[in-house]
Amino acid sequence: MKVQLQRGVDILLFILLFAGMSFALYMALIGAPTEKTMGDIQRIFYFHVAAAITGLTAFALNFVASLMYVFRKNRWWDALALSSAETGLLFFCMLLITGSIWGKPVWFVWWTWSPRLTSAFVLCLLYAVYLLIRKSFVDPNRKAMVAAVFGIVAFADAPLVWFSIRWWRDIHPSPMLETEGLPDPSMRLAFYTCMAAFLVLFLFLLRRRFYLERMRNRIEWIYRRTETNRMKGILQ
Amino acid sequence: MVLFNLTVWAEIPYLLLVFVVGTLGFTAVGTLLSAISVNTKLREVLLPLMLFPVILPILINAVEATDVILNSSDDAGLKLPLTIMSAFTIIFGTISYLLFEHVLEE
Repeated sequence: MKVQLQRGVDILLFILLFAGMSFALYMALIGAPTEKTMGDIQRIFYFHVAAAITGLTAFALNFVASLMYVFRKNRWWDALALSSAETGLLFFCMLLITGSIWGKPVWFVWWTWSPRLTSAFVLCLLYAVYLLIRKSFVDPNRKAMVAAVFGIVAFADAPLVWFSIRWWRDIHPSPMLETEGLPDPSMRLAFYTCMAAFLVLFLFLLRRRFYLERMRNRIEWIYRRTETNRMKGILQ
Repeated sequence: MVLFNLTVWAEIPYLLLVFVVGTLGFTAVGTLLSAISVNTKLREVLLPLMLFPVILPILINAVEATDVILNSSDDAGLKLPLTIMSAFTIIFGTISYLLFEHVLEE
């Protein structure tokens, strides 16, 4: 019954993802009008911002899951923290790549060390390190605990990414929705559909990664148990 | 000549403030992360790898604040870097204080 429900949710998410992504692509590439000064390159904005917000959501989820792991010591939360960090890192890489592609024709450089770009890059680095330190521990409980502590510390940088363009003068554009930067309603529609499609993509990937990790934990547990039984047999 | 003809004496209280706040934040999170990495095989590599990106907000703002103190005549530009530094120091201090036992208990 539970398995069937999960399968149902998976299929529903896949259908939503397919329909949402197709519509978002159509809206961003064809439906939205061309921007006056930047031209067609502005269309990357819809994916860039959606990737940023989705990535930050993923890292926030990692933060919550890490906190829960520290207090509950349940491997379920650890698996959730790991899968959200990995998916979040994916979206942040997407963010940096689309940003660079946009920056080259508009700013004439691929990269510059402005507060926004630097803080986003550092956040990306932090979660790469998060995945790296997980590899350097053998004991699974110790690994989960260390990763949870690092996940909590690492998330301190995330508000800086969000507020950097509000606190400093930055070459990066201001937040479009707060400064009325999207005058055309179909531009706003394109942005919201991209946002929704990316969130569905995030949920879809998160669930896949989460089940993979749960299965790995289970296999590891079975392996350890048989090993212990074998040792007991030898001792007897 | 040593200090490039900067008039440092009047600015020392501000500089001390930046040093103290920056060092506090640095050590608070540094202690937590060294407690994490001390038992691993890769500890020489792992500690700087973890610590550097984490303290980067404090580091950059400390540099910024020192720059404002030494190079600019009005101290209005000092407010933002010093606020961010202090905020991070408080956050890191609290997190380290709360999590330290969990890290050490195993």
